[in-house]
Amino acid sequence: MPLLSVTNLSTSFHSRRGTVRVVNSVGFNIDKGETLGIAGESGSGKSVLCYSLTGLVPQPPGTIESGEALFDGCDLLKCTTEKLRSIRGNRIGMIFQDPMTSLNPYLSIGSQLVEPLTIHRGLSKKEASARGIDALTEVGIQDAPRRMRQFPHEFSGGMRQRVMIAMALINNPDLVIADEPTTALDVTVQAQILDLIGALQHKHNSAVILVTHDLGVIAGICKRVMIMYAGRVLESGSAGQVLSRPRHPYTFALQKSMPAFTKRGNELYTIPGAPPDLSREIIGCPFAPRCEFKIDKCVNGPCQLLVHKDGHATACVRINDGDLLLDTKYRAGFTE
Amino acid sequence: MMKPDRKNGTSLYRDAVYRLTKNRAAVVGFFCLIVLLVLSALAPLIAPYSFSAQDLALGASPPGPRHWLGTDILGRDLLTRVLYGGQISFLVGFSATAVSLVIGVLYGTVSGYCGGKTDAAMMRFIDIMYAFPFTIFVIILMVFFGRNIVLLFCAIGAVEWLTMARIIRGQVLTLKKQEYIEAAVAMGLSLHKIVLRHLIPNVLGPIIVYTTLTIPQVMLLEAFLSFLGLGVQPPMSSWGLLVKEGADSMEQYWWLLIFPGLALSITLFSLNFLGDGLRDALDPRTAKD
Amino acid sequence: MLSFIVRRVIETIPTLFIIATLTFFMVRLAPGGPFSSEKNVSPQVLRNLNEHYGLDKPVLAQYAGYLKNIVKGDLGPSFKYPNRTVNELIATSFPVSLELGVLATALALALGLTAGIIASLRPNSLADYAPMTLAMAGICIPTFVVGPLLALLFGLNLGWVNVSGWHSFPDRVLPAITLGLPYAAYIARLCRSGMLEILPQDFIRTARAKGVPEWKIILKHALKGGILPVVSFLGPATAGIITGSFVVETIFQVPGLGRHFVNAAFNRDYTMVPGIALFYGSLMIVFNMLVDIAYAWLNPRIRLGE
Repeated sequence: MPLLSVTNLSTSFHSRRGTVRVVNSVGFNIDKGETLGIAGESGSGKSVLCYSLTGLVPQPPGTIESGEALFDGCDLLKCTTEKLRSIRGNRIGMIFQDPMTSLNPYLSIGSQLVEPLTIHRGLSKKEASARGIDALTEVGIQDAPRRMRQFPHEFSGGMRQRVMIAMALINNPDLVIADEPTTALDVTVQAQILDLIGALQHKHNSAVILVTHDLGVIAGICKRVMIMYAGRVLESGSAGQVLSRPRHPYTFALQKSMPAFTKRGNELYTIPGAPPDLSREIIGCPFAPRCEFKIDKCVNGPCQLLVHKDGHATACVRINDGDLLLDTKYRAGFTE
Repeated sequence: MMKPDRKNGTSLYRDAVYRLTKNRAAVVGFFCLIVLLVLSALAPLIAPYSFSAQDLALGASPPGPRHWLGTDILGRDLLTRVLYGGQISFLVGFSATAVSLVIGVLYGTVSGYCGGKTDAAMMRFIDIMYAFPFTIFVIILMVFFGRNIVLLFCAIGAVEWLTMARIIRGQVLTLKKQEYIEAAVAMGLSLHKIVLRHLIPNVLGPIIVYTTLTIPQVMLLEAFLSFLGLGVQPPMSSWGLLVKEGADSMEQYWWLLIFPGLALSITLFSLNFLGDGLRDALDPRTAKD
Repeated sequence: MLSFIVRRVIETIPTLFIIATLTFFMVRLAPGGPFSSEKNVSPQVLRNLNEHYGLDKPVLAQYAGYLKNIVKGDLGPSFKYPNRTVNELIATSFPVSLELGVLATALALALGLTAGIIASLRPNSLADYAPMTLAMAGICIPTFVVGPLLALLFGLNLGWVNVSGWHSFPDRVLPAITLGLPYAAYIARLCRSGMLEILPQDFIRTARAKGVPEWKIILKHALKGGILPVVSFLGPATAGIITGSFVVETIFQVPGLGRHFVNAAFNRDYTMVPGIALFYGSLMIVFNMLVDIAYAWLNPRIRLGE
């Protein structure tokens, strides 16, 4: 049985301009100790997906329209707020994008760090503080006892993200959701933070959902990958499948637009057009207007995620129907 | 809400007016204020009785058909006195605000524009002044130098300019870094021209907002002084003085307290709602959606 | 911390000096003297009085003597209350004003913070508009209208409390409410806008993600930053509560320092006026300093003395 099993999750935001369906019928499973990468450009709904699972979507204006998210036999989308609260920070830890704003500037690092311990485990202040010092040391922060008394503004961005990681993992959660944990950091720090997440995951045997817009990050540490676009899953499979043999033109285009995949001297590829307006109903494939392989049935026909025999799933109608093969013929101009 | 195709310089103000008209409390406040202002200004024409006409035989009578708001102990018509009292209250409110405006804008602009050591010294002075028990000085001034109405404007104006100066300075500091000011400096415009043509028009928004919010404070301070017997002198009368007289005899003649109090409160309400509305309208960042 | 306090105390000296000088000369420049209202005083008695209080000496000599006494903490004898010093008068009447001020401030904080927090949790709903309209009323209806109205309603009509005097606890209720209401209103507005700044911030989401209960998010994570505008308002508010007490003490016949000050000014009490002005000045400086310390304690990014 998977640790978390999500089916048909849809989340919408309501504004005066209409209803925007930000997450659209998304489903996935994640096993204990597994690492799932969710990739997509900004606005593809990957962050809202994570917030929907943990009840952090502000309601209103947001609404969870449908779906089920079974976590250890409990449906996260329907259980009481009190039950969900007892899971957050306890069995599910979260790491956010911007460590500069995600820590409370008015509270000391120590008091924020040990809060999950005092709330969920009922530890006394003294016990919690001792565990907090261990946790800081574990994420590579030196002189932890003194650092506990300091405030966020006395920490660098990378150090703050280490604190966030320590805080998310302090209760040994079964699942860690990391929402673009390296996006706001310097490139040199990014790798350190990813290594740290990987090492701690291994040590605590936690499952990790890693949200990112950087395919390179996913390639490094994820076992399975899910590609999102316009609130839907366009492709999913093992990291090897999705990244080396993409079965959706969008993933293909994303790879082509990465500098690392482009031959020296060639102009960097960019995907033409812009993501669709989600306040309008989309018939057919959401990527069709920007797709270089688009034919009539992409725009008009139904578009569904289909799992192939090898476990590699794609929502591209042409590939599913067998009339398109993204093979080496199209890879001219870039190397792997 | 904002139409992107507007290009001319007045669009900011047109948008502001549009936002303001959508704020119901501000619109109601604006009209209440206009009505009260017009009524007070036209007091000599529309007041049913003469300001000082006494009717000792009548004495204090409750509101009725002959005297809509009743009469005071000397038989003077309260409606007439409230209308005339409004003249003084508004006069003090506007004049003292004008005094504080002039001092505050000049001080703030110069301080912000000069910057450096001048700015630091000028702001330090303001800090010191903030710790000064000003109301106490106004009281001393009014007691010792007679309850002269011009002195009253100046004294109140001298109390209220500090915050104005700070706001203006902040605005000027941010504006100074903008390129069009640098362009004006590069073109060799003189200091007073830069201040008059470029700085003041651009700090107008906060000035309008803060002025609207200062007037009620000033009117309240005048009423407070009048209540202590330190404001305008009888037979002249302001709302504060009328409230004071009303409070003295409220046990028998409730209307003498209620109506002047109501006139003062409605005016303060109107000005505050209008000021809040203006702030939301002129500063799109704080506006609701 | 200590050096901050020392520096602030040193900085207050010029302010206090200006207050003392200004009031000293204003009182003497003004027409009329402390004994001019006493009609039936013979020239001989007047001369004796002037000599007794040192008024026959040149003004500058009086000024020098006055400053010398102030440095020693002696504010001089009162002119209007024979045989009593200004120090004694302040010592007997200030505790009354202090009690009134503390009660009013406590009330203002309790009421204002509660209303502000409630309003901020559901912005633009009835739970926001209702307390905020009340707050606007609290700002716009002057103390000297509210006070008499409360006295009329609860004192004279319902007979629940006395409308004047300062003997038992019920006597303190109406003055404290009257004095505290406008500040409750300001605090409610400031607290609401402060909380509205904080509540959408990322670190509140982090707290939710940790499973912190909602009440604790509001009181621990949001309030500390949300009340910063309220804390900076408390400095000027102290000044307002001091002067506000002039009116409230007059309305409810409270034997506090405010009434003494107004009377002293009317009576041209040459030592009482500068004495009380100096006292109030020092009080405001002390409160502003406490506010700065509280602000720095709440906001770790602020360091004292910078």
